[in-house]
Amino acid sequence: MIDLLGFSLCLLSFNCFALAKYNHFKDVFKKRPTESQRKKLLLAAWISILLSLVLCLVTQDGYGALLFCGFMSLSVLIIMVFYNFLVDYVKWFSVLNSVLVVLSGLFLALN
Amino acid sequence: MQAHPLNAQPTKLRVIELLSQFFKLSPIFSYRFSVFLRFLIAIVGGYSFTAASTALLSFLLPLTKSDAVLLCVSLSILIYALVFIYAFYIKSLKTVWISILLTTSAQICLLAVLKGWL
Amino acid sequence: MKDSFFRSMTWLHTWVGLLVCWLLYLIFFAGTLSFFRDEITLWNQPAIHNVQAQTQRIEAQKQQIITGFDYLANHGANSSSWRITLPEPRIPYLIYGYAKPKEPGQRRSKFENTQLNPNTMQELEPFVDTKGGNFFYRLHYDLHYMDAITARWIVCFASFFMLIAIISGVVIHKRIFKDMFSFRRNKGSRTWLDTHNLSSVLALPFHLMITYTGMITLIFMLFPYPAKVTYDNGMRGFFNDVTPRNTMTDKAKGELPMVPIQRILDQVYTKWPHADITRVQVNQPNMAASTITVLVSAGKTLRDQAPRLIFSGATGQMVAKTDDELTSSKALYESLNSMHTGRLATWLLRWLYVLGGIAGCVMIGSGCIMWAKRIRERTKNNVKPSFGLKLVEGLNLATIMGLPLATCAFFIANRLLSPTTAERADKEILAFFLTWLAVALLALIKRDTLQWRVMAAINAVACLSVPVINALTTNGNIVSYLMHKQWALFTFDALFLLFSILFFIQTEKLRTAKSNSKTISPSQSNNLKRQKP
Repeated sequence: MIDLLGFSLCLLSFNCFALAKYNHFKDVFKKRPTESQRKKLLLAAWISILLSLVLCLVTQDGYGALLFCGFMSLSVLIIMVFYNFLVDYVKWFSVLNSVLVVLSGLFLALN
Repeated sequence: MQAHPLNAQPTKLRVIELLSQFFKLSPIFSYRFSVFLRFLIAIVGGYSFTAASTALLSFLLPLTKSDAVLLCVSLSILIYALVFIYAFYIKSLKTVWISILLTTSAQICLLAVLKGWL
Repeated sequence: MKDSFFRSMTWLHTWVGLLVCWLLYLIFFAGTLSFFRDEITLWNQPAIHNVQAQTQRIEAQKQQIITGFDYLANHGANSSSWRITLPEPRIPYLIYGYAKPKEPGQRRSKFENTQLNPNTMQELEPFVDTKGGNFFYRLHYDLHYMDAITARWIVCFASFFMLIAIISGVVIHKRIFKDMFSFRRNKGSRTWLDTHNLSSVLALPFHLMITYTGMITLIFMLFPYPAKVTYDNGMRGFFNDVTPRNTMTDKAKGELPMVPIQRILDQVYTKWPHADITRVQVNQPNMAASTITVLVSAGKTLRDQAPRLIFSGATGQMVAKTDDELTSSKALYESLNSMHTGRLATWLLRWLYVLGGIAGCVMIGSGCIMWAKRIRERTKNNVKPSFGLKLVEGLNLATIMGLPLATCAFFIANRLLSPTTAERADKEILAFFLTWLAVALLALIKRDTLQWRVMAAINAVACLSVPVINALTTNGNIVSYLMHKQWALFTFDALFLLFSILFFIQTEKLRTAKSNSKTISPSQSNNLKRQKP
């Protein structure tokens, strides 16, 4: 479960990074992002990637750094596929991503 | 590319200059030759530089023997890569050759003095 | 030669990369497969397919060792060395082995091994002679048909060039981080560039780590100088210093019976109550100088040298052990090594490693294809392509399509060769290299879209035939593996089916692609260079 939280946070972060780009934002929402939207997205991206890194490092020591790099690779791959081949599903995918973060976080918090 | 024995020039520098003048006669050949020289110094020179510096470092580091050796070998590839990039970064081939040869021999000399090989 | 740092780095990236890319592709390919070393060995060895994983693996270890000592005392009393290899999560069976007398000309004596099913303690059916995953593991750094040391130097040279290519690549493509999520489809060499960029950025930390640490694993061959300078007796002195050895009783002469193994195991479990013992080795059993070495799994720690305790067999006293806490230099060196081998990886991390490995193969493959395509585009129609271009194109086809096919041939040979064939393991490897040679010969004749299509079709058929032949020649098949939850075998077959489909898609894409016989089709998708585990 801790792996899932780390991964979904990483995925969320790259999702935000991609949305913060003009062209990708336009592809998804059919309009240009405002400057403040971009800033918020970037902020969210950095926060969640740092959280993911800290989570991996704190819970798994040196092993966690390797895991984190792997998570980054997988996230970029998934994001790339969605933003280039499945643009219509990006909204659903983002919702699912956020739900994953919340669920795995809740699960960990409750246990 | 070391000094040609028949070329009784006082310094190696002059030899390189003369050689490069000679090779300027055919531009393609001179280009290929300079590429070859650059790779030679990057690979062989970089290797000797790394070997000398890691050996010296492992000898100087105030750690236990095994720790010093392990630290130095772990860093060696990093040093090698940096020297390699440096050999391609500097525009003047002459500077590259001189700097790498000089630093390598200086380190070997220092090591030889410290170890009492001389 | 160069006008600026930027241009010199571009130049360096192109030529350094091109020079070694095919060798690197082989190294990455074999290395990626090596992450599944145990699983491949399992698949290649039908005798252990039905060994169930133990439910109480660690708890059963003590009894297995005690039984093993009884067995070895009965069978190998005069042997010079005993070895008990316990089941691990990925290796389901138990081995009791003792050294046979050394024959003249042998450097190490061979072991007489008995493989047991740990659940029933019954001997397993005889094993077939196969190298299994070890073949790819050795291919990864020893290559084949050549002296191992020469091969290692070549591999190190290629890896070093890879490191240089990665560093210069990051410098020249500063934009790769900016457009990291963009991928332009059907744009000819632009698509290849995007594939190249994406696969490198995607796993950049992995690429850097694996290349650097790869050279670290062979570092004492590359740079023995620090050890030679620091220690009076050179490398030997260094290795003696860092490996725990018995210095207390090794001079003892004569025979002495060994203490009961329980006394030694009690000491191990006192020190490590939850020890997951992987191996017990006995040197010179029943001699006064005998030692018993107990190795335990390092678990998820970044350590390559397995933690171990060494006991004197005659007195039962502990004579040496690995450090419990590593000093920072040792920790650095050990973690670099263990990161490369990935022995610590659980299944999640192992698959992430494989993802990185595949990204590496795609990166290298797309890089060399891109080079050939660019030169092709620049060459005028009426100009004959240069020898260099033809060579590059030929090598591209031979390596990128040949290696997956050769891998299929290796596995098919494993199933089709009769178990009694003499030197069977070598024949499997021969099948691998002969297939590769055949593809290379084909690439020698012609290298245009048609050849790529034919190779893709053959690869698709070959990948499909691996699980089919497996189903026909062994008791299990992909469905029964799923039913009996034999995940390793199931994944193996499923991946071959997946790659068969990918190669089939590639064949279709190449058919519909514009039949521009001059260029390798642009739209052949990047699945081209994916490979099987």
